[in-house]
Amino acid sequence: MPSPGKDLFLISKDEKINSRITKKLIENDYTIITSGSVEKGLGKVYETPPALILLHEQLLKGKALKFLKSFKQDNLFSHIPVILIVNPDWEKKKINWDNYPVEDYITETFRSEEILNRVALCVTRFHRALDPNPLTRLPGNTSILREIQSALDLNQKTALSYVDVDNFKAFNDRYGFARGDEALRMTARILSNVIHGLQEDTAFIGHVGGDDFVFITPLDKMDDACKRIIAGFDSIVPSLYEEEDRKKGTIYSKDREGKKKYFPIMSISIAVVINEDNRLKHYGEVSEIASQLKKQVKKKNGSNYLVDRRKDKKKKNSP
Amino acid sequence: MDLEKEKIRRKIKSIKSLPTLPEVAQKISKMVEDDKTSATELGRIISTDPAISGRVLRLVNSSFYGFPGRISSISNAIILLGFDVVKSLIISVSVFEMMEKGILGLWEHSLGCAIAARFIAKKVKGCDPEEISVAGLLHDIGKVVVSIQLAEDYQEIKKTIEEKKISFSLAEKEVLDLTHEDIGGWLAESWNLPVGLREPISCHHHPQLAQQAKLSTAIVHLANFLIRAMGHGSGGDPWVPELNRKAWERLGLSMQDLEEIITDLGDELESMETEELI
Repeated sequence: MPSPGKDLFLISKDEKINSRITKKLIENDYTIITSGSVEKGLGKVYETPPALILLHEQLLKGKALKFLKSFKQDNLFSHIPVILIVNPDWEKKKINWDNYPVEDYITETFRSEEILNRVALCVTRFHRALDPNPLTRLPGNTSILREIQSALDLNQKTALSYVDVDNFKAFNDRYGFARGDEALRMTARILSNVIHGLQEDTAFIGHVGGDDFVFITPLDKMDDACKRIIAGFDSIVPSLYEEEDRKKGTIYSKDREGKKKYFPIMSISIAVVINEDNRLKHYGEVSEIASQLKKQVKKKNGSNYLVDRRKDKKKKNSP
Repeated sequence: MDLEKEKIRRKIKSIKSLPTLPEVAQKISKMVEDDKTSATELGRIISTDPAISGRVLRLVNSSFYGFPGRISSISNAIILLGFDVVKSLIISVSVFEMMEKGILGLWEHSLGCAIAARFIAKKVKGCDPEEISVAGLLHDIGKVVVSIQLAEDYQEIKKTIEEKKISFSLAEKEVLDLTHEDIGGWLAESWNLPVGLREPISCHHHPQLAQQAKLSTAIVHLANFLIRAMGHGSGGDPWVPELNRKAWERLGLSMQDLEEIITDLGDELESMETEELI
């Protein structure tokens, strides 16, 4: 993992530009590695991914552009923003941006405050939307990991909740992938509205993948959030079914072993791990407790949430 | 389809929202500005206005949200769009610039039909009263479109009704060779509304033509008949529409059921008037 925010990579042969950029940024606690060629520079970048790359447009000829494109196509690195440094005349041309896989540009005549803020903003912007899930546009695993860890580090009373849609697979098999995607987008929307509706800065909702989601709330908001998610889900999910199935309340589909049987309408299960008095230190501990808890909550019929307060060993069920 | 109809159809496809009454817009905006207004209260008030309901349902069923044609209730639409999105939609609702008597009557008729449809739905097995009440609210949305988008034809239709003493639908047929069922149906289609709303809109005078939402269409058909027979609001002509025997039979209601529906409906309309909802 790159250390977020302060490691930059500069690809440029122009000594004057290099010294101006380096001076201002180092004064502001950035570290900068420099390279005079795109090919070599990117080689180093693959080894130690920086938070951002500054790249002189003059080096971006022929093969170099190809290298940059393949770098930006690699899904592990495509999130690293690239700022192009251009000649003021270049800016005047009509530019086909499809040919330049970069996030921003700055002219060689930049003011030093400008480069500083441009870099900081670019890093922040890409930190914000690091890995959105393509289906739901919710933050993905990298963000989830980061948010859980920072929630633990904050050492406040926090609830980390793992959401899972029951009987999703049967629905997917019966109605097809496109309808399954509809169900996931709908679930994401319900979760996201409830969590953002709390208006808490520390609240977070992410999409692990498939029918798995994670949300983080202050401890005292957790009960309310779970109840509202369940109420919303149960109210909306029947509209995803064909009228016939909806009336019966079951669908005929395959289980994991491929055996045909009847499945109830989808419901939602939430496993809630509580962190208080700083008892949890690491992300791994949270997911371990959550996966045990998930098994228990999924055994129950319908939508439920189950809270684990490891400290007092007391378990609480939803009403 | 001939050229003239195709032109109207294209015009309808470009409609994103319809205006509402200034008084309604004012009342609802006030509620929105009040921080204490809950999602439930907001849903209840939206459910009284065809224009705002249509706007909310159009958005939640748009492809942008990724589940087109699935949502037919206002409360579910609020859960999915989010409180803030719905609030902004309401604030940006437009109002009728030129208000004429007919529009107010139509608004009352639509709301009355929504209430009637809900009472009927509660007596009929296997249907969703909330969806059906929205269908009742929106069933005449085609008439609103005619009055705004085809203003000249609308005047012509009104003249024809008076001169020839014929129904709104027949007059529409004469003037446009189309009816508000066709036009409302096109709008519902272009807004991706679920079939449970689309068919009651496009078939409420011809319930036998409904393909999928037969029960909902039959209920809205009966609701439309009842509310007109009770003389509440106005559908644009002075006549009570015909009741389709098959639709009535489909609902399996007894005479006692009907009497209860009429009593409940009468009480509800009366209490609404005293509340001055309008």
